[in-house]
Amino acid sequence: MHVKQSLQKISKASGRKSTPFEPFRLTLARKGLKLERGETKTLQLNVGLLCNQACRHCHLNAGPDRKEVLNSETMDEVVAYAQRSQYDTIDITGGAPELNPNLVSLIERLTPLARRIMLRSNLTVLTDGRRDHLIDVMKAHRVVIVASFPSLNESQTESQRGQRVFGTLISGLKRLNAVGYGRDDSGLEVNLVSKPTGAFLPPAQDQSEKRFRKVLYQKWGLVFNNLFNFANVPLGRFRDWLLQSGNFEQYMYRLASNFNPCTIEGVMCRTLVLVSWDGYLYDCDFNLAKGLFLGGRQTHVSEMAGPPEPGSAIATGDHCYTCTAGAGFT
Amino acid sequence: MESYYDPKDLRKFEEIGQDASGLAKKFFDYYGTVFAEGELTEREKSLIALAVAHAVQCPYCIDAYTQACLEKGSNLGEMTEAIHVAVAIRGGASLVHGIQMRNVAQKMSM
Repeated sequence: MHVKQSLQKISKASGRKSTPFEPFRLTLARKGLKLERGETKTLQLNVGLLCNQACRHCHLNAGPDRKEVLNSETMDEVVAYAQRSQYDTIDITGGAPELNPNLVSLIERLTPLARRIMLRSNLTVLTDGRRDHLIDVMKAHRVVIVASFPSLNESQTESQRGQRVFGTLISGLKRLNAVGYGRDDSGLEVNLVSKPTGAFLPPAQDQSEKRFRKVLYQKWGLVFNNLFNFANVPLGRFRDWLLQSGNFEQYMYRLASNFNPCTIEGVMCRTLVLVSWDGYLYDCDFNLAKGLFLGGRQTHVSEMAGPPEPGSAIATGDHCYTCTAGAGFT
Repeated sequence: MESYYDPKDLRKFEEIGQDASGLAKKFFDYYGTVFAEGELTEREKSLIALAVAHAVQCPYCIDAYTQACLEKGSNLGEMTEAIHVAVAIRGGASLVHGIQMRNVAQKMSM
């Protein structure tokens, strides 16, 4: 390894900045990279910001007091859009999507329209005693559940997600395992998402997955299909925490200095489009948090004839460094 | 207040190679290889490095390897135990020499 690269690798580990980070768009320009859409295969639907928790890393500021919830009128428009667009995957997110009163109907109407339906879950809502029917519906329609599980360590988990959450995560995953999710040959897929519990980058995914699989099984008899590690995006409550704790500049520098041009091809905004609870389109969930509309223009789902065109521009900001750091975020 | 240590100096580490660059290259190539995944995982090596950093009391290494341990999925509990390993070894190294003290004392004593 070249001396300079070796030294940079070691000194980068401290995360101490000496200069501000370069704006994302300038980094792309300097490296001769363009971020444009490929073929859009995934429709992500954010059904609202209502959540039973107020996690400290939330980029959307979701929580129990939020009123933004997908209504039945907008749901009809989204279903009609999905029908005319023929997406491969439809990914339902929030907030806590389980709290949307129309979720069961939404799943039943969307399932015939895509090969794969995904639902993002914080796992804790599933243990509130009122979701048995929802779990049965998800099982019947083979909905892929993507569940948040920050850490195998109780203190770390609760520093991010709130007190007494760790036990409910275990209970939630137990509940899903009990109906077949995560078990071999069940065809019911539950994947875990782990995000760092502070101003640092996530570990290598394959090593994380090995540890999670071993510890969750040995300690609690729990199983899952895949684990994904994602970095936290410096938006929303996480951004507020970064600023209040004096970690913002160091964290942004860390993200920017780990920019990996090889990630550009696979970033999710190239193949995903998001519709918000009020029917407007965004390149991704993070652009929704930032208020950056699809391609920089406010477009309602009713105006869209089909998926966004390949080659169309993607709106970017400095938060985009999150998805291009290290191994990337897809 | 003046101090011998400035956290910003860690970022200037590469400047050490401006003289005796051949030696620096050998060192850092070796360094990179040591910390790569081998029989031990990168995470295990980072915890060992953290413990050694406390044993030799290097503030640069403590800074760098605290972050490295967190970024390899470790936590305060594990990292604190690793420090105690360093403490146990350092303390034990002093204590075991007490046997020499006892040998000398017994020889000299009636």
